[in-house]
Amino acid sequence: MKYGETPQLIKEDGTRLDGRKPEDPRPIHMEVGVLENADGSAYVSFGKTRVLAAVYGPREPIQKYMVLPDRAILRVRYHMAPFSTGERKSPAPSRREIELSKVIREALEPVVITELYPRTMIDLFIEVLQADGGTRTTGVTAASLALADAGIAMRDLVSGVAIGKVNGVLVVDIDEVEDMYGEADMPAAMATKLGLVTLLQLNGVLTKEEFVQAMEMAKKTLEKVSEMQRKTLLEKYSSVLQV
Amino acid sequence: MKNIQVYFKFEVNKVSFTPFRVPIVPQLKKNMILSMIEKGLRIDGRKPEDIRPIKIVTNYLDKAEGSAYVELGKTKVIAGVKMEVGEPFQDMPDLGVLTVHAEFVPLASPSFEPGPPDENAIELSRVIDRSFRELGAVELEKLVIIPGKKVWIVWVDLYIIDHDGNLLDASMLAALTALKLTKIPSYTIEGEDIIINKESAKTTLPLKEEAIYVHIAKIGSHFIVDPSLDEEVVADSRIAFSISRDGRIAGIQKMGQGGMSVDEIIKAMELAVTVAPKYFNAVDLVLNKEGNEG
Amino acid sequence: MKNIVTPGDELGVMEEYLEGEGVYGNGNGYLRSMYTGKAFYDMVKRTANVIPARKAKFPRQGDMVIGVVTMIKPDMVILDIYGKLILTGRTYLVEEFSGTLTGLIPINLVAHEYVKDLHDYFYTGDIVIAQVTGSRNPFQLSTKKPICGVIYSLCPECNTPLEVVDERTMKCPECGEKVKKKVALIKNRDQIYSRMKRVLSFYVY
Repeated sequence: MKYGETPQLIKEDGTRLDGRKPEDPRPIHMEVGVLENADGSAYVSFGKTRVLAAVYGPREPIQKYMVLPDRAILRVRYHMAPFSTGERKSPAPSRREIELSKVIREALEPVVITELYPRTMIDLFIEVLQADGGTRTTGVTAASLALADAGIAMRDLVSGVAIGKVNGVLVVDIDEVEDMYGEADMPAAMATKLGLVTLLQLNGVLTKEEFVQAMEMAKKTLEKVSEMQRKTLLEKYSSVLQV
Repeated sequence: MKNIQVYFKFEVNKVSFTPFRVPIVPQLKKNMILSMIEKGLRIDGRKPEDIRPIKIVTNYLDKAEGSAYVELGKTKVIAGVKMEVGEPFQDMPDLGVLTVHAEFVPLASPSFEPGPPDENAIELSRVIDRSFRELGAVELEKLVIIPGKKVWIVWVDLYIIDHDGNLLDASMLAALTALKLTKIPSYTIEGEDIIINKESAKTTLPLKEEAIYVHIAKIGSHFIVDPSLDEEVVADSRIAFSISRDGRIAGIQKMGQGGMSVDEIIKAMELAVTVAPKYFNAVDLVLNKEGNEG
Repeated sequence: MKNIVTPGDELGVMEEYLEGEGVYGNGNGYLRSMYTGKAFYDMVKRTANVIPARKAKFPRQGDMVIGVVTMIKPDMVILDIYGKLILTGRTYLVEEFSGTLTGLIPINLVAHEYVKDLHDYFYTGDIVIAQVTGSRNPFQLSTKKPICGVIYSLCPECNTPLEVVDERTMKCPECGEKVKKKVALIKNRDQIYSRMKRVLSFYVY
């Protein structure tokens, strides 16, 4: 397929290429406590996008001057595995990964109660095992689960999803094909109980009305994702909590 | 000691830290900014929806194919556009290439360090790059020399030389002005080689769409446009909207360590759409003058 | 009201209860949980609390921690804290942190008696049990309690692990050198050693 030709991404009956309705996310799977060494860890997949997140700390930073006197520093690394994409990705951090590390850090900073751990550092490592669209939002979802699993005090869980526009239709949770040929990609993450949008980017062009509609769609989907995150955490700790 | 320094740089380029070396606004000033905002005032006498005075110098540099120097209040940015012949991307053989690169030079602020671009510089350049790219601002189809083999590569280099907040809007203004002034050098094809003649007649870079960024900071429950450095540091949360000439949204980036509710974001978006013409007017004014003189 | 909560879940409104443990109250007038855990309402103090199912490995005031002495200054001992001692039944278990934290023992919190020279109590490289008296990193520690003090130390002459003689003395089994220490009077020393292989291998070899 040559660049510039937009394939038909929405079928005549209104469904998408993989049979989903515009407002449906892909099948979501979540697990917490998947790693042995990490203080907290989580594995989240949205369809074929698979992400692993791990938390270490609060601990003393290696460079002891890298501290804040009143709260903990959050250190985030978003990284894509070399085998996560169609062509092998060089493991060296790309400009995209550096930007996304920052965006993900800023998405989590409002919810982590860092004031409880002054002069320390909380490390958060996100590895994308397989990329099929929406990696940063899946990463945020996994990261907030890992933080909760590590027992770090949090104001709320953060859940993320990407809203896209393909063939003029707003769709929820776009995959790689829809991202590549669609008109817009709007990753959003929210702390749903507090109603705070902590991550918002737009890659593409939307009118004002479409933007308002996209925000509503994101909010609706994220409430469902957040509910799933809570269920996952409670299942993991059901044995401890029943006693 | 040397090892520590090397390690530090290495670390900075691999992971993202909570900033621990931010310019410090004294607590008193912070309280003052907050209490004044409550009354609808800002420390430099602006209204919440006012932008700082803009000064644009066109064709600031001679060697660049297009250039602009922008002052937004005390923030100063130079944008230089260089055109280069290169190979297209494999998946887009019939398109030219537009690359935005930002450099936070250490002379601009005590918080900037020498070294490769840090996450803020990378974010800034990627956010601007995205907006131009997604809007199809530059008609990349017209930048092809030999299809599939040789195309023009447009390098937009942003040089922040003084940092007083709102680097994004100032950089976007500089980039847009510089791109609008860019002239494509004439060339002759001789077999496989392309001979560029920088001196002879030049055509303007074809621009289809235009957009500028409007950076909005939320302090308390108030929105202010074009935050200065002090306001940026105090702000709870910041969001920037790229607005095209016809009022569409061509990019969003939420920044800062806080969150915003959906209603607040929609309110900020509407504010951005009303502010955008001010920036466009500033660009138009300078370019019209330039056009009349030339 | 829910009994089992996750971060962000409401526990009540601020008029009803006060903020207790694991609960914060700046989210739109509601009291919300910080952790995944069980809600617990203290009707006497009128507080809402959350008992976390899992809490971050972080020392709190009163905890016993284990660390390695990294530096001795004239007026204080600086250590790297490696883990926390958890009393389960009659045995202590070591919960290792995934990194280190810094601890300081000021000279007045080392022992009950007058301390003239800290080198009569600790030496660099000693593994020490201490009680946390501060609440932020670097943590202020105390070794006044009998169970606090050195649990593992090497002979300054021949690098053999020392044996305990009494609460102020350790002795080298090889060369017979007697060394003054603030010794921790704990029974299951071996168990703590075996739980601390990572620390030992890191510091001794």
